[in-house]
Amino acid sequence: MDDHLTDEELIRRAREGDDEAFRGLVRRYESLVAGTVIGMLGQCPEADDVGQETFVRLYRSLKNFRSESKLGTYLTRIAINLSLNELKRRNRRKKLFFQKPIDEIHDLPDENAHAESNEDREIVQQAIGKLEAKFRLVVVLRLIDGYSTEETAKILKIPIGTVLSRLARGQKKLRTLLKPYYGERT
Amino acid sequence: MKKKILELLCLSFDGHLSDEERRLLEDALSRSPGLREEKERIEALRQTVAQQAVRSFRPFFAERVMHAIATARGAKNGLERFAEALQLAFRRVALVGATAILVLLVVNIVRTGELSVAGALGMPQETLVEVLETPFDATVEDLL
Repeated sequence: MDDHLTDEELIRRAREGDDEAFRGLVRRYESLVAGTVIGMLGQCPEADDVGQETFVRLYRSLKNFRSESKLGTYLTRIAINLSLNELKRRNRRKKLFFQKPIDEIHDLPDENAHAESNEDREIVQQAIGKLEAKFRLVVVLRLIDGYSTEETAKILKIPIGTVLSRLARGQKKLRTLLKPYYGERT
Repeated sequence: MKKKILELLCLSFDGHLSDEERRLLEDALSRSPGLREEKERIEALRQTVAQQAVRSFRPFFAERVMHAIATARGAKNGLERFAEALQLAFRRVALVGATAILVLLVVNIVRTGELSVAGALGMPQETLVEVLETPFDATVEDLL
């Protein structure tokens, strides 16, 4: 319904109280936010909550949102901050109950189980979840969200060189984790 | 040099290399089978991750967001309603208080028959001489 409208137009209408316009923005950016949040947290109920909160925060800041920054980048920033908060909460919980800080999502499935179930999506997701948060961030932004190195550096407020080195290390670790499932393909 | 080439390789996926950088990378790729292999591996990894990434939340996500916003709006309205009620209650209390003070002042003025501050406050009007001339009856024993 709102597909033909630009982001600016939808934002303007949403500011004036048009809920349908805001719903249009949610639909338009759901996949981007989901890529970031699920990439960071894995597929879990908390990811859905963080996704919702991302849009609720956008709604609250609509009046102050300046259209010179891209809406996608703005949402990605919110999604990243909320995901990092959730990871910290997870770590605190795990520290409390298991006395061991972890920001990993799950253990990777059994290699043979993969042959039977062929859950490629889950394997890749869990391999990303095994990365340290700082490497995971770069991998998610570059490889899932499709941001360029420069954009990633701007979003994370780190130098381009740091993005490149973190990406290289993240990719190397991912390759090691995925090798049992995909062999030399990765 | 190797680090620089690897950086260029990573940057090449953005498509933002200058002519000079592109030439340097192509040259290195043509000379190094290991680098070509690395490039293929990175491409395969990028493809795998991009293909397998989950890009949607559970169904009816937009509806859940709109519901969360409506709930947040309701909470805000509740807070606003409370503030308004508090303001109204204060106004009523202030009005009743001011009326009571006014009535008391009038009653005092009527009772004392004096149109003065002291009369309004119900205080006996005494001059300084009267105060000074008031005999001090207390003895040392009374005080002790």
